[in-house]
Formats: sequence, structure tokens, C-alpha cells
Amino acid sequence: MIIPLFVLAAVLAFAFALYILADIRPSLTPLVSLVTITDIVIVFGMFDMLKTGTTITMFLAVAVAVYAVCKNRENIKEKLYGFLQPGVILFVASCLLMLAYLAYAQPVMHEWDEFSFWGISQLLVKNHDRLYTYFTSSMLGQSIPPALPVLSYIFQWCTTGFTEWVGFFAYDVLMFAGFAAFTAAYERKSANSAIFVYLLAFLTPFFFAISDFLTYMKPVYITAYSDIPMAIVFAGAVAVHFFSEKGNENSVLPVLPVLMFLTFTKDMGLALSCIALFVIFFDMLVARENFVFLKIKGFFGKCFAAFVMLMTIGGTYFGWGYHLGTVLAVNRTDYGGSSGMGIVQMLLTGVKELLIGPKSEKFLFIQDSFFTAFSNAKVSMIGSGRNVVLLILALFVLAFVFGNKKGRKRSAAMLFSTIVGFVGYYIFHLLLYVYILGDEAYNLVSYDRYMYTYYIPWLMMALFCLAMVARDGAKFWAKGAMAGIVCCVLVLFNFYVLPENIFTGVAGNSFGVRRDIAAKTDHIRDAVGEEDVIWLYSGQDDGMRWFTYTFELSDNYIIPNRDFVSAGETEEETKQLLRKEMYDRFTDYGVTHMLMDWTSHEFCVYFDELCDVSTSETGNAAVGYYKVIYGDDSLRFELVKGGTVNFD
Amino acid sequence: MIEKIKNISSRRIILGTAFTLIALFLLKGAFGLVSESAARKNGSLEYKVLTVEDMEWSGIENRDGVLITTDLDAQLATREVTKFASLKFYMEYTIFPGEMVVYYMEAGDPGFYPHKRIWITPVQGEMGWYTADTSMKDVVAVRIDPTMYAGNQLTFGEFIFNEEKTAGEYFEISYGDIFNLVVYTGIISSVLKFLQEMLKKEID
Repeated sequence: MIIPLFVLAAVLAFAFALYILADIRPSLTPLVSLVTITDIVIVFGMFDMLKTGTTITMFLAVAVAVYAVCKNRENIKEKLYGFLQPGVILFVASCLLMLAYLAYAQPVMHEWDEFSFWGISQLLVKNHDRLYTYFTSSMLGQSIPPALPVLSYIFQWCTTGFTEWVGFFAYDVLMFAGFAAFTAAYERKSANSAIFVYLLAFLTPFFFAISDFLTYMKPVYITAYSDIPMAIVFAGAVAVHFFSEKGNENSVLPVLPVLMFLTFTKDMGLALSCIALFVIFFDMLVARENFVFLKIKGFFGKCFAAFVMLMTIGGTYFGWGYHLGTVLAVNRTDYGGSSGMGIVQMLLTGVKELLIGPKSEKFLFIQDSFFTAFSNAKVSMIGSGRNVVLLILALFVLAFVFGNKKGRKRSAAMLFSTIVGFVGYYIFHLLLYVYILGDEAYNLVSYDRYMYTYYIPWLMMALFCLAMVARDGAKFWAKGAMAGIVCCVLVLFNFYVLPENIFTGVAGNSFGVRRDIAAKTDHIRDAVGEEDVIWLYSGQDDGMRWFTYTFELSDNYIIPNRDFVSAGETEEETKQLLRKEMYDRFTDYGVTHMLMDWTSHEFCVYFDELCDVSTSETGNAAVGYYKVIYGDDSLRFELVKGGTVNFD
Repeated sequence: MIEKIKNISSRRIILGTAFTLIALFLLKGAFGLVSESAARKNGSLEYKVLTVEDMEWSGIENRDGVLITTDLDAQLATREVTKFASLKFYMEYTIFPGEMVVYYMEAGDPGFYPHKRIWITPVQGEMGWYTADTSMKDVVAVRIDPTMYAGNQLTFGEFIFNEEKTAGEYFEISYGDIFNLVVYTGIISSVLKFLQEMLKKEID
């Protein structure tokens, strides 16, 4: 708990320095500070100096803060008073509360993709002290950019061993820093407006992530999934520009690290960065008078600023691609997928087929369901995407109606550019479903998750306009509208969300599957050798338990059990064929051990005779670790270690 | 009076809201304590022990004396409880049960609702015992979902309904309560401040 707290302090110190030295609005500084630190560490990591790099960066961040304080020794009190704006205070308070809660509750990862990439990458980066491009493991997706795993690493870089809740905490700090940036319109005297914005931002992820009365917990702030943090950083990039007072370097340079971070988050981050760039550029064109960027004035200055941002995004994207090329020797632009296309090729073919044709059957089918999903599929507490867009439009209309002249201009510009962004984003996802995803594309897998990645920041951007108007325009109405909306969302929230479904009051059993498997692995861990190739048998598993085992035994290869297909005319014949199939599969993979997690009726009938201890004794509330003995065309299993496991 | 309201400082608004909410929380605990002990006295809230044979089963079969779940939604239900405040029961399993839930149906409900649900948690230090606690409710039926998996061999002991609680348990504060306290203090005090600004005709 001490190390994360220290890192948080360093982030804040650097934020304070940014405020003093670079004159960035205080509420924006936590986000800029955190992403800058992470960006630097990623670059160190790409040169395989992750641990030293983090130490150096932390040292530098603190050193800059000390320098800033020393330089302003006389008026440090006023500076500190100026720094503690509502956004900063809310940020610090929520981080500390969250830290206390996480340290007490000790939550663990328990969702699907946390084990396929987002969680296990954090574990591997921490355990190896290197980026995951520098070593091999059974983790999928080595080419995914590393911003979030590195962020998690920074918060525990000098601890022994990996702690899962610290990873959650790192995400939360990032998101809270984003929320703080959203409140940057307000100074201390309008603290209550800042609370409205902050709270609305805080509740918005739930608003989208929970669209149904849930049977299972939805841990928005306790998850390693990347979608919501990425959405918040996207809105944060726009906020950093939108809320800067002056039209000069100050409204452009702080955006760069945020865009860099966004592009480093995930492949989709590139698309979002480009949309953010477009929104920012449009806002500059419309709203910034007397714009000067690096001594270039007016329109050309704006173009140059946009060019610098584009270079940052491109540099980040191709920099990571170059890194992959040199270290892993893979080509990043090659998306692959079901049609084996690169991303540029996909866009060109896709747009051509969408507008002119001819369309394949798959294209037509998915196009149809994809466009009807907009008004049919439930993605939020208020229903479909259409309803969400209407809500967002309503916010923009409010901002426009109650705004002063400048506020109206900026709201209209923001509305236009975000609509263009949305159309682009929607079509891009249509093409992803058509060309990249395989059969799972037909039922629009993860549609809601992909969509709220845009809806959340879009709603936030509408809120920026309203927040600005509540400061400069018809204050009474705009602020009243914000208060009303927050209250409505809170009512909806109480209607939909039971206390168990948010991150507080988590029942132990939500993490039960994880703890069950952790207890089983702990029981056999000393029997597992480094070189063991383990075949996992787990009766009713849908893949989740296998994923969890790859996480718990991350140093070994875990081979999942796929169904055996052989069938003979008689029971005896089937038995022989299945054993042959198992033998072939085991020799293919070079399996050395079998891990019995749950046994099943089929297993007992066909394979139990091969084991020296019956799997019905080592299967269910117990665990069995068997050594595989190869004979000629046959297998035997010898129990190495096993026994009953209880974790309650 | 109005002049006084106009001059209340922000800090006092926030503290006042927080203390009011804390007072409400304590009031709620006291109400639970008083109403439940009253109900216990007049006999409507009963301490009751049931066995698994007293319940209606669904998705569970008795195969030669062994209870085994046959689908993913095994249920045990009873209509013998009219007021429900807590449940404690003993269970052994062969497959780790996953999430365990109690549903309660109140008069007029057509069925069991996801909103009327309480999580079952293991009792610390008492192997095999599970518990679910709530404030007293008038119910027509209670349903227990003991496991998420089929093929799980379950052995049940006693089902103890409405065991007596200590006075302190009514005032236990959970993390959900703290979360609500923080969020509602923020939102209510902000709205109050906004109303004050309206009175002053000076919106900040």
C-alpha cells in the first residue's frame, strides 16, 4: 500500500510542477502528469530498460517538482492554494478512498479477457520487469501496445511480486485524473458545479456497462479491461485542449502526451486519437482567436499545431510498429483476421464495397444487423444507441441554447466534429466485423463494449460544452440542467444497480472461481516443474478455468482440453479410438503432465483406468497432478500430488 | 431567516448534509432493531429450522440418497417463512458452487426478481456454514440457489431462518454504505449550495 501511495504522490508532485512551470490549468495537470510519466517509461521499456527507466522517471518527476518549489519559494503558499482547485481535490480524495477500499477488499481478476491479455500482461510485465515483447509466454496478443500494463507496472515497480488490486488502482487513478480534467472549467468558488461534472463522469461508465438487471457483478472500477480507461483518456485528450484558456502552446503541447498514451493503449486507440485530433482541430479553427503556436500565427499556426499532433500519433504508432519489427519480427499493420487483410487494404476495400458494391453475403448480413442494432440493441440504462445519441444531442442543444456567443460556436463545432467522428467510428467497426472477425461476427459479439467506448467520451464532450456554458453563459439554466441530469442518472443508477453490482459490497463468491483455482494451484505448486507442459482437464469448463490456470501457472504452458471426436460402433471400440486420439494429441503437444481440475462422467468411463488414482477422488473439490508415462501407443497417468482443497 | 440562509458557508452545508445522512443511517439501524425485536416478541418473526426435505426442489434429484444437481439453475424454495431477516445453513459440495444467492418473494410479486436478492457468503471460521442477512421483510416465499453448476453432489444440514442478531449487527456499516454516504453528501450539498446561490441570485 505504501508504494502505490508514493507513486500517487510523485504523480501529484509532478502535476504541481506542471502547474507552476508550464502554467497548465490545475485540474488538467493530474492527467497530463500521469500520462507523461507513463509515456516516458514505455519508451524506456521499448529499449528493454523498464525497471531502471521507471526509477529514473520517478526520480526525475520528483526532482522537477523540487526544482519548481525551490524556484517559487517565496510565493509557494499562494501557488499551492491556486493548485488546489476542485478537480484536484476530488481527484486526490477519490484516489485515497479507492486505495483504502482496494487494500481492504483485495479484489482479484475474474473476467474472461483479463486472463487472455489485459490482466496476464500486467502479471508478466511485473514478474519479468520487461515489456512482454522481450520474452515468450502462453499469452496471446504480444503485439498489443503496452500503455495499460506499463501503467500498472509503474504503481508497483519496486515491490516484490505482482498485486492484482494495485493494477486496478492504477487504472482508477488514470480514470479519476480524466474526471478531474473534465471539471477544469471551474474554480473553487464553483466547486458544486465541479462536483456535478465529476459525479456524472464517475457514474457514466456504469450507465453504459450495466444495461440490464444483473445477476453477476459488473466491476467497472475493478477490472483490467481497457475499454473504459481508453474512452476516458480519449475524452481527456479533448478536455486538455478544450479547457485551456489561451490559444497558444499551452493548449496544444499538453495534449501531445495524452494522444501518445491513447495511441499506446490499444490498436483502437489509434482511431480514437485521430478522432480526438479532428475534434481538437475543429475547435481550434472555430473558437481560437489570436492563436499563436511556436510563433506561427492564425490559420497556419493551427494547421501546424494539428500537424504536430498528427506527427505525435503517427510517431507513436509507427514507433511501436518498428519496435515489434525489430524485436519480434512481426508486421504490425497486418491485422489478419478472417480475410487476412492489412488495415489500409481493409479500409479501402470496405469503403468501396459499402458505397459501390458488390457486397458479399456476409457483408450484407452484418451490415443489416449492425445498422438495426443501433436502434435495437440495448447498450445503456436508457436503452439503445439511438436513445443515447438523442440524450447527447439534447445536452448539446442545451449548451447551444444557454450559451453565450463563443459557447454556441464551440458547442456547434464540437457537435459537428463528434458526429463525423461517430459515423467514422461506426463504419470502421462495421468493417472490423465484416473482415477481421470470423463467425462470431454474425451475432455482433461485444457490440455494446465497442460502442460505449465512443458513447462515454461523446457524452462527456457534450458535458464539456454544458459545463463551459454553465460558467460563461446563462448560468442558472445550464447549471440547473447539470444538477437535474446528475440527479436523474443517480435515480436510474439506484433503480438498476444493486449495491453488490458496483465495486462496494462485493460478495466473496464473485471472486470464488478465482480463489478456488488459486487454492488448487497453491496445493500442487511445489510439484510443478519449470519445464512441465500441462494438459488441463476441466469438465464443464467454457474456457474460463483454463484462462485462469494460465494466469496462475503463468510460467508453464497449459494445453486446454478440446472435445475428443472419435466414435466407434461399440463402447469398447470408442474407448480404444479415444485413447488413440488422446495419445496423438499428447505427443503433438509434448505434454508431460495432466492437471485434473474437474472430472466428468465421460472421463471416468473412457480414461479412468489409465490413472493409478481414480479421478473421481482427485477431480472436483480436490485437485490431481499426474505425470504422463508414455508407452507404445498408450498412456498412463501417475499421481504426483493431489488432494482435497478447501478455500472458504 | 432568508438572510441567514444566504450566509451559511459551504463547509457548513457539507458537514450538515453529512451529519444528517449519518443520523439517518443510525435511525435506520435503530428502526431495524426495534421493529425486529417487537416482531420477535409478538411471534411474527420466528426462529425456524428446516431441513432439505421440507423444501421444494427444482433442478435437484435424489439419486440413491445422494442429492445431485441436474441443471445450471438448481433451486430450493420454501413457503413456510412469512417474515425473513436472515438465513444460515450448512452445505457440502463436490464442485465449487460459484455464486450463491437467496431470492425472496413479497406479497403481490408474480415471481422472483433479480432485485429482491441477497448474496450468500461463507461464515468466517465455520467450515461449511453459509449465511445471508437482510433487514426484516414480509415474504411469501424464499428461494435458495445453492450452486451454478450441474452434476454437483450436495449434502445439506440445517437451514436456520431468522436467528437472533446482536444489537451491534443492526448498526454495522458496509462499504456500500460509505460509498453512498460520500456520493450523496456530495450531490445533496451541491444541490443545496445551488439553491442558496439561486436565493442570492449569484450563480457561481
